[in-house]
Amino acid sequence: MVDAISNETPAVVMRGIVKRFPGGVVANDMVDFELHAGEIHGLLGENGAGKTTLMNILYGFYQPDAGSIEIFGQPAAFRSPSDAIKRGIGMVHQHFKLVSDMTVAENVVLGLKSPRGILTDIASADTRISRLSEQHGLHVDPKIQIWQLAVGELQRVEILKALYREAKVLILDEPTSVLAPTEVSDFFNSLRGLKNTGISIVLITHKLDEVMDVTDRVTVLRKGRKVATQATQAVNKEKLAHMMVGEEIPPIADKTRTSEREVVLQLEQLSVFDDRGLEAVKGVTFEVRRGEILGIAGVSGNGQRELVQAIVGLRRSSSGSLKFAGVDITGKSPRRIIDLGLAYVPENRTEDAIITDFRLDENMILKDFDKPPICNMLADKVPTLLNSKEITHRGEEAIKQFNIKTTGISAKARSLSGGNLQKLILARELSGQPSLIVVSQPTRGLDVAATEYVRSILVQQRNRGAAVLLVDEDLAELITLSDRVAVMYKGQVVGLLEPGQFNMEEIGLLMTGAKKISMAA
Amino acid sequence: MLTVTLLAYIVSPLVVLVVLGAAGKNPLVALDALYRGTVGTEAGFAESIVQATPLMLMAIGLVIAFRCKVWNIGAEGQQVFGAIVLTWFVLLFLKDPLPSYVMIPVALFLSLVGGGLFAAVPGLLKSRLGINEVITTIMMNYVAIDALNWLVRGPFQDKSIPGSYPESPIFPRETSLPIILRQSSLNVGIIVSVVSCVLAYYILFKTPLGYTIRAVGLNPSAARTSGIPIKRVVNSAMVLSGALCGLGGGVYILGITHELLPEQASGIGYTAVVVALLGNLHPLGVIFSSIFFGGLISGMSSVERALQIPRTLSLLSQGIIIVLILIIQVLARYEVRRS
Amino acid sequence: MGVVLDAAAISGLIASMLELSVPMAFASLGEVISERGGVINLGTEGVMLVGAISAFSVSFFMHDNLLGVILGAFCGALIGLLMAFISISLKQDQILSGLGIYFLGLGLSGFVYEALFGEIGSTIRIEGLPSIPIPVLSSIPILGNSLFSQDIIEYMAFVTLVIVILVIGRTTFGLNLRAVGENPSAADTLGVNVAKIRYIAVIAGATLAGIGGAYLAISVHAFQAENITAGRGFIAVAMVYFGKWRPARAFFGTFLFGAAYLLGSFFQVVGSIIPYYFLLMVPYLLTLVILVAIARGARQPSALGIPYTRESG
Repeated sequence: MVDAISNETPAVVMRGIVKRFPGGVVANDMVDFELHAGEIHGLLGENGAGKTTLMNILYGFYQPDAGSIEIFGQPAAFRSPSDAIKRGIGMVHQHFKLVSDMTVAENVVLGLKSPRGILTDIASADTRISRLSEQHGLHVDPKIQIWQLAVGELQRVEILKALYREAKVLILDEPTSVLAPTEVSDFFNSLRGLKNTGISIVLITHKLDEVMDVTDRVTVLRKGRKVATQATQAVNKEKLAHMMVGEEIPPIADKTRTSEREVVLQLEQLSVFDDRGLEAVKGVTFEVRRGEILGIAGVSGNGQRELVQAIVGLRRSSSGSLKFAGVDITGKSPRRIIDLGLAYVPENRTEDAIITDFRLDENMILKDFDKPPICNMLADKVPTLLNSKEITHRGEEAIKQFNIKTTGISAKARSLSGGNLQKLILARELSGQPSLIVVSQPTRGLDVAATEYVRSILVQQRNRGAAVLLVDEDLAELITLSDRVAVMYKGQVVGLLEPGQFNMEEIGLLMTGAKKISMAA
Repeated sequence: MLTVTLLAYIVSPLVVLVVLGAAGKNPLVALDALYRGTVGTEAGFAESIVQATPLMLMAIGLVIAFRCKVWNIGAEGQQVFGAIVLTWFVLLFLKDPLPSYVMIPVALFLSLVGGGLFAAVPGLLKSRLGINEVITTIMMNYVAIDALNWLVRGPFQDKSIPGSYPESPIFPRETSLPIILRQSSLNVGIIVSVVSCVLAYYILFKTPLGYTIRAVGLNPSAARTSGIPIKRVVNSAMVLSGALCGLGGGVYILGITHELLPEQASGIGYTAVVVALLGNLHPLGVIFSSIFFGGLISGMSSVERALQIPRTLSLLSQGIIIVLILIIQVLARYEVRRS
Repeated sequence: MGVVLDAAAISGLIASMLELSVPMAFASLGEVISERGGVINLGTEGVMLVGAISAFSVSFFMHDNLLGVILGAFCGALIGLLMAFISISLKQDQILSGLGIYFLGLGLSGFVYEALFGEIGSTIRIEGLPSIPIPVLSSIPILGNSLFSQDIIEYMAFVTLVIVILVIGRTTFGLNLRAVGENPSAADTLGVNVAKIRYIAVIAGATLAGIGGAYLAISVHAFQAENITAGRGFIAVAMVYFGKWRPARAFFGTFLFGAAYLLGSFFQVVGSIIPYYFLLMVPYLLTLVILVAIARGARQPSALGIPYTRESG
């Protein structure tokens, strides 16, 4: 009904937007952006390109350092999200902003003036939400508490939050990152439905398929700058990829197969409970051998996190067996498992792998600070004093070998950029020639060069003979790097694929539970 | 950071003087008394060091706990309990004391053990059950003070003097810490304290234990992922902390009072919290800040005598100081980020 | 050694228990509000002391207890403002800020007492509040003379409980408060001013603690520096854990403590083989026991103790 051709007043015009963050990062560098009324506009770019920042500015969460914004032809200067909401802007963030022990209705009305003044009016909210949810096909019960909902339902709540506020512009930040492939097509149908009611949509994504599938136009950002805006019909995936990255992506180094086939990690009918006492991992069986990379595919939230925690000793499994190099490690502490030869590169680097207020050299000894040669020993048994020469030496070696950009070993870890931080972690974890490397989201948030480096390191380790367990939401990366792929869905391994069996469709179907392959021994 | 701390050192006496002026007292008289009570006279200087000694021990004990983000507010209870255990031992040998080179080390050792044990309770409650240590250590403080009050009126009371005074018998000469400066109470306790600070430096920065204490304090999640046994580290930090506080109580009683009195629980444990913070949680800083506070206490008594005002003024100063420190530290951090 | 436990005696015991509990009950309600918003205030003890000395001073000089309570509330609010500033705007560690407030309150109240009353002597008494019997209900045996013949502040405590329950559960402020304590980022993205809500929560909490301290001075009829609260503020904070952050549970939890304190005075009058000082220990040991008992399974507001910053980049 609404014409997407730009004779109408555009819904949003952003001109010359500049945003700097402390530390010298320029997230947006003179960016122009125009959203036509009633269109679905893709905002494309790699991690760190500035897409979310730009939209956060539109939503009033940040204030730009320079530039102007117009909403339906009227100038706007938002000092907070309330201002943006009043002008009809709604945003659904990548990480849901929901209060888990409040109901759907309570979450939806949060921040709004109540019709009853000081008192809340949840009853009328319940009614209105039900109506909206019917109208747009976003089914959810307003009276349920958030913690009881599944991920797809949570997303509907987030959209309802915007619709309840009569949003005319809806910004969606990586909405499909939590959905399985079939859920994605339902989701896009809802988007088309919303578009037909006159809502203009910005879809932030780094997935080329989605852009081609559902958008009318697409804007590509790279390193904080706008590269181009095109009608979707006028481009294809290769052109978009080129615009996103700027240069050809080099192919991954050849994986030479090694002949060792000794089993390093063995899981048999392993079950693990999550924090809420529900079974997150249900009877999982697989093994990882020397000289291979086993990838775990799956939409996040299907038990991968708990599985990894059980393997590295951070969570007790409830039943089944877990063996590392033949040794039963069920219920053993992280310490013991590390001593057996485990290297772990967690997804939350600054929370779980690095102490940001420690220096680089102090971080390097995090796993063996009480063993020789880092620590002097009395009678070979009792740790005494730390050996500062050894510590310095190790730190300097790490910086050299892994090419870490820093002022020196006494720099605090917080001064390192994402890529260099990951290099530091790898330097530490790989220094002991580990036999099992567990790595989760290895290239999240890294720039192109760092991403390449990390991938090549993982392949190198595999060629050296290490067993690598790779959990990765980036399906393309997972497929490129893995020798075999296990797909997890609702806590179970629903498919274990050999090389030659991989293709995106197959894995997609497995990831949604639409298909299940019986396990080969 | 250093300038900030120095600023706090300078500002706080000034604040006190301003408060005095506001209360109608002559600040110049106060300033003079303050000077004489701290570094101006030999007696004043000796008194400053004497007051600093137990503070230094307790503060360095607290530094070890605080570096682990274990908020041990129980220094008061731990030092009292250390003194209680020490007193029990000394009273056993009241009639027939052993030579001082036996009595003193054993007594001090017992105060150390007593403090450590007393701290182990809240330590275990925190590591095993996750119970907030601020509340538990403060509750233990009250328990220790009540125990002290009961003992000095009961089993430990000096029954040999007429009347009923809440105090233990005076300790034999063999338990007094040897005096360094003639005709003062300046004793070897200060050496014990300074040595403890040096030891604490080594422990924190040169040993695996210290490394784990600092790591757990800065990022318990990363520490746990790398295999550091959090529970054990928290317990160690707490026990070590309590032991040093207990030793502080021991040094206090053997160096200053020479008997167990209700005044053993004078709030020195709470002052130690401020001293530890003012020392930036670093052993070297603690040496300076405890001497500063020792001077403050000695100087304030001198001022109190000169102007005839009460003890609560010191309490007020401490409260103002800690709030000022917190505010100034933030401003300092903000400045650092801007540069 | 016989003690007559007739109706009058029991009635007296209940009345005393209520009187002893009310200060902590107020402080605990205040702390529930603060912690539901995500800020733990360990300085509650200091706030109570400030409330106590304010009320005591006003009562002594102006012979008006109610005015004293109002001043206590006001001074509590001021201290709360300071606490809010340090822990919310300056984002300092809440444990440290709370301790600073504790020391400040301790020093300030002691100093003011000495400054105003130091020369007069040590045993100064003020008058208490008259009891107001509720018609009809006060004729009920036992309860009539105690529960239904309290003074106005004691009645206010119960009224405050109801108000706090309503505010948290049924007002927009309460909704915002709960959101801010659980997921401040969620509230922020919807335009809720996280800092403002937390400021209000902390100040409201401190105001109630100030009232509690004021009533303490009035009910005890005196003020002893450092000793008058004797840890009640910390116990009130512990009661919030005990009550699992629900106002009614924390409120009635403090009555347990009224009973504990009562034990001490009861046995002091009656005489017993347990030494007096051991009985004094009961409230503190009881706190420890309770904390252990509820240690497992208590789920606190997720954002409690964590200063909120809007993430950059």
